[in-house]
Parts: sequence; C-alpha cells; structure tokens
Amino acid sequence: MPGQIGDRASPKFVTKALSGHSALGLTTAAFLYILTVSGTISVFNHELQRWEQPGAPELASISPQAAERAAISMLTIEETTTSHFFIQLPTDDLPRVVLTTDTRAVVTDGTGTIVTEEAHPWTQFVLDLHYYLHLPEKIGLTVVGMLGVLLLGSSISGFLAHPSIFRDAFAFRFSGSARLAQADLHNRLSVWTSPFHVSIALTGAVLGLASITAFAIATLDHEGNTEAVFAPVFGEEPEENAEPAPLAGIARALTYMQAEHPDIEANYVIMHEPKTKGQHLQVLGIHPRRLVFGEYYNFDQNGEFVQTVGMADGKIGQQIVASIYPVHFGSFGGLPVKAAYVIFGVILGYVVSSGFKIYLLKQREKGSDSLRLEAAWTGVMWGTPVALSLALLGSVTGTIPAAALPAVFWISLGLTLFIAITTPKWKLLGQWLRGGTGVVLLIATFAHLSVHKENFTSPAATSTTIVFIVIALAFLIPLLKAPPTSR
Amino acid sequence: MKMFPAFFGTMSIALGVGVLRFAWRRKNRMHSLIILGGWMIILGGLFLWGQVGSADWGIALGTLLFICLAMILLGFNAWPAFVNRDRKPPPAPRTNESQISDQTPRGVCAKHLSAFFLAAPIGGGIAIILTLSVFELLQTFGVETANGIVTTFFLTPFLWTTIATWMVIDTTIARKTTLLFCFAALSALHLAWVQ
Repeated sequence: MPGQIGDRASPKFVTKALSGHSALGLTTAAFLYILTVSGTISVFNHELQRWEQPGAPELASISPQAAERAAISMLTIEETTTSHFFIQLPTDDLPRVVLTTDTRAVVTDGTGTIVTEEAHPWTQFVLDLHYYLHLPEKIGLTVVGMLGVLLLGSSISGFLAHPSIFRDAFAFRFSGSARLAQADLHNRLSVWTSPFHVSIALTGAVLGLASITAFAIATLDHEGNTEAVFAPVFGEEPEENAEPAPLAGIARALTYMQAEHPDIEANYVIMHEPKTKGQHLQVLGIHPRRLVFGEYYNFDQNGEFVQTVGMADGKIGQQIVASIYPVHFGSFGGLPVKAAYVIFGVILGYVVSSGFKIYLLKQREKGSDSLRLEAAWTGVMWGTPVALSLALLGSVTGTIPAAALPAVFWISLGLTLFIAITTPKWKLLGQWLRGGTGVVLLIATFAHLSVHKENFTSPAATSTTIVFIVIALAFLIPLLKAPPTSR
Repeated sequence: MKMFPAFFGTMSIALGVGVLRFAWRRKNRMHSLIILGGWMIILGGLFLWGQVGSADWGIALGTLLFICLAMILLGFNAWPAFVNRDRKPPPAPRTNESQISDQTPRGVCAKHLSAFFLAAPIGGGIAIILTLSVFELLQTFGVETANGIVTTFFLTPFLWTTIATWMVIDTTIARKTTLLFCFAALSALHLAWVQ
C-alpha cells in the first residue's frame, strides 16, 4: 500500500489534486470545524442530558405495568391529540424513563408517576447545531449532508494530493519550519485516523442527504409521497383511523419482550396515532453485540406481537441503514468506543484546523499578507469553544432561555470574528479566547454545582462535572506556561 | 464477549501495525512483501474480531482498535522528533506543497469559491440525477426495493463526492463540464424513458 501510489502519480496531477484539496478544505473549513466540535460533544449527549438534570429519577428498569400507567397519565393530561408518542426506557447510559409527545417531554419515576418536565436545553442546542447548524430542519440537514460530502471529498483529494502519505506514514519533522511540522502532523494524523473520518463523513452525508434522495425518488415514482420511499426500509405505517379507541396494550407488549426476548433490551415504546383505531405500537429492542441501532417489534392494538420490521435480520440494505447512526455517533460499544470517538473527534478538529494553518503559513512564507484571514481563523477556532461555553453558562444559570441559545452562540462567534478581523495584529487573541473558554467553563460548572447542590453526588452529575473541570483546566494551564506572544 | 478471538485479534492487529512500522522507509526488495504481510496480519486480526459478536460489530471495534494502536505507535515515533525539535532541520521535504502555483489572494479566493460552487450545488444536482437513473436500473434488474433504496442513499453522497473531487482537481473546466452534462443528459433521458 505505501509508497507505490506516489511513485506513479505525475507531478502535474499531484499539483492539481493539492489545489483541489485546498479549495475544498478552505471554503468549508469553518463549518467543518464547528460540526466536528459539536459532533465530538454530541458523542456524550446522554451523559450530558443526565448532567443537565441531575435530580431527575434514575432507575435500572421499569415494569411493563408502570410504563403503561405512565403512558395513560401522560396522554390524559395532554391537551391536544398527539400523532406520535414515545416512551424512552432506561438503558445503561441513560437510566431514565422519558415520555415524549408532539409538544412536550416528561420524566417519570419507577411507579410511572410523572415527576418533572425533561430539561436538557444545552445538550439539545449542541445536537441541533450538529444536525442542522440551527437552520430550518430540512435545509439544515441537507447543508450538513453537503458538508459531509465535502469532508469526504477533502479526504480523497488529500490522499491524491499526497502520494507519499502512506510511505511516510510514520515520519515526523518537528524541527525546521513550522509549516513542515504542521504538515507532518496533519498528514500523519489524517492517514491513521482515515477509517474514522471517512466513515464519519460518509455516514453524516448519508444521514443528511437521505431526505433529498428520498424526495427525488418520491417525485419520480410515488407522486411526491416520501413515506412510500422509506416504507420498504423502515416498515409501513397502517392506515390512519381517527376514531377513538383505548390505548394499545403497552404492558402486554413489554411483557412479551421480557418473556420471549430476555436478551434484548427494550429501548423505546413508539406509538403512532395513540388512542385511535388506527394506532400502531412498536417496541425498539437493542440487540447486543450488533452494529444496528435495534429492531422494531410491531404489536397490534391489544399488545399482541405481529412481526419485526427487519432492521436486525431483514434485507441487507435495512441492516446497513440501521448501522449508520451508531457508526456516526459511536453508540455501539459503550464507554470505550465513546472515548475513542471523542479522541478521534478532537484529532479531526485538529486536522481541519491544521489544514487551514498550513495554507496560512504557506501564504506567510510567500510574503502574502493574510493577517486578517489568519486572525479570522483564530477567531473561529477558539471562538467556537468560547461561544459554546457562554451558551452553557446561560443555560445552567437559567439566564438564557433554550430558544435563545443558538442566537447566543452565533452572535458570540460573530463577535469574536469581528474582533479578530478588526484587530488582526493582536497576537494575544487566541490566548484570550482559550483563557475565556476555560474561565467561562469553570464558572458554568460551579454555577451548575450551586444550582444542583442537593444532587452534587448523584451519578448523573459527578463524573461529568469532573470532566468539565478537567477540560476547563486543560484550556487554562498551558496559558500559564506559554509566552504571551503566539496566537 | 468471546475472549479468545478478541485477544488474538488484538495481538494480530498490534503485530500488523508493528510490521508496517518496521517496513517503513526500508528500501530493499522485501519492502513491498513485508508491507503486504503487515496488512494481511491486520486483516486477519479484523477477521478474528469479526468472530467476537456479529461480524459488523466486531470489525467496527477491531478497526477502532487498529486506529488506537497505530496512534500509539505514531506517538512513539513522534516523541524523539518532538524532543529534538530545536536541532538542525531534517532534509528538504518530500511533500509537494512547494508545487502550488503563486496566485494573488483575490485570485485564490475567486478560484476557491468557483470550485466550491462547481463542487457543491452543480455536483449535487448531477449526482442526484445519476442516482435516480441507477435506482431505476436497479429496479429494472429486479433488485429488492429496500436494497435499491439504501444503495441510492449511499450512492448520492458517493457520486457527489466523486464529482466534487473531480471538479476541483481537473482544471479543464470545458472538458469536465461537457462530460458531466453528457452523463446528466443521458441519465435524464433514461429517467424520461422509464417514466
């Protein structure tokens, strides 16, 4: 594999490939960086949800009867009819029962009694940033999918542009020019983490672009009905019938799962058109040691098992599609896989960032004045964590409502960029932003501690609090040692 | 978790990465054979990991392990260079950065923006037309609908990536535009015909 590719590639082709690599990377770098940072945080979204609401009841399991009781209570107090209704059952990384309708989400205790509204605004804000860049849902998803395509394109053009990348897969030159050191680190990290970033980019692109692909197929073959496109993969929903009916037998369905599939963990109860004659009950079961996110078990109105959809053992296409989400978010192997995803996510952030820096260093070597661009990149790179930390601070202190968090993030980032561009010679910008991130993160963590002091020692709070403090110190400690000159 | 395949799978991947490291920069006749051997040992390790649970799950875990082990070895390799970073610079780079042509910042910006628009909206549109055409072909050949749909879900980004990469690499705009529009026109004709 190493070496030979490069020996055959013509210098002209390599130059073109490198130019293409730069073009793709430079035009999308800022958004790719923001998506990488938000994606890396999203890997631990369950843990963050728990941390944001440490007082919510946590339990290892809930009885089928209690789950049904909770569903009845929820649908009784719900003022409007809901088209979809979910019960999230306790799992290892999210040991909570959450009931969600079209309009609200509540947490229940082990008896099925509703305890409180679900509240994890910051985690949801980060997820929305990663899924949609806070744009309207469909547009955002498509834009993010397109960025996945361009990340994949950057990876491929990067390999084409660096034909000796495999031959030099272990080479490092820290001495000499800063650009060479950056380039070596960029290339070495890119090549060895390529299985990760290629799969992340591809699955991200598939997730983002599936809706427009489905829309195109629907327009061509199904008179614009996209549900008809997804049906062969995810199963069909039965005909709607709005006539009232008693709630489908949730307890019976869950009891069936416990009796017939004791090795499969029921993760979600999903109801379509609940309390109508057309209602449709599904249980999502997690299959251990599988890459698929789970299997849908369909039940009738009485809670009698009907059939599975086939996500775990159906058509190969169904199994592949069911594996996309776990591969993208690293939710297929517990804490070790999540930790690996965070490390590789940080590396990907570095690769994106160093790619831009290499370009800037090259410009500087050529004598071109790219001070403003350099400052702008510093603003994006270190302004992103500052903006995320400010949103966190506003969220945990309750001073900023959930709906305003995206505005806080984008305005903060915009302000950082403005300062960077208007003061391009200010060498301390990066240090100030790193310091700002550390300080704001520490304040947010201690604010969270003071708001939730009665749950200080709860498993939902302790480890994440420690991680936040460590991250804040990781931003602050190097600043104490660094000479006050570099960006 | 099955301990036996997991343990030997891990050992095999570690050995494979070690062999690749050993072969690095050695320029003798055995070089290519050693590298091939290294990759074979890694594949063997992934195969063993495939026995740990379901094949897809095990291989995914084995691949993550491969990256981790490679990064550790890379760290060992980088450490001496990092410690000696203030010494005399090494020989001239073998990378190809110096081959980039000199352009004004405005020229670079315009070039990158035009490349972006060629790669993103135009590339995307053509990729979708091609994907639809392939989907109809799959249907014609009797491929299961679910499999055909999932193929298109992957095909759209794959084709888009290929077109985007090609658009930004090939500098002969007339040639690439003509070829792409030919593909798109053929696909559109095919779609019109199957309707």
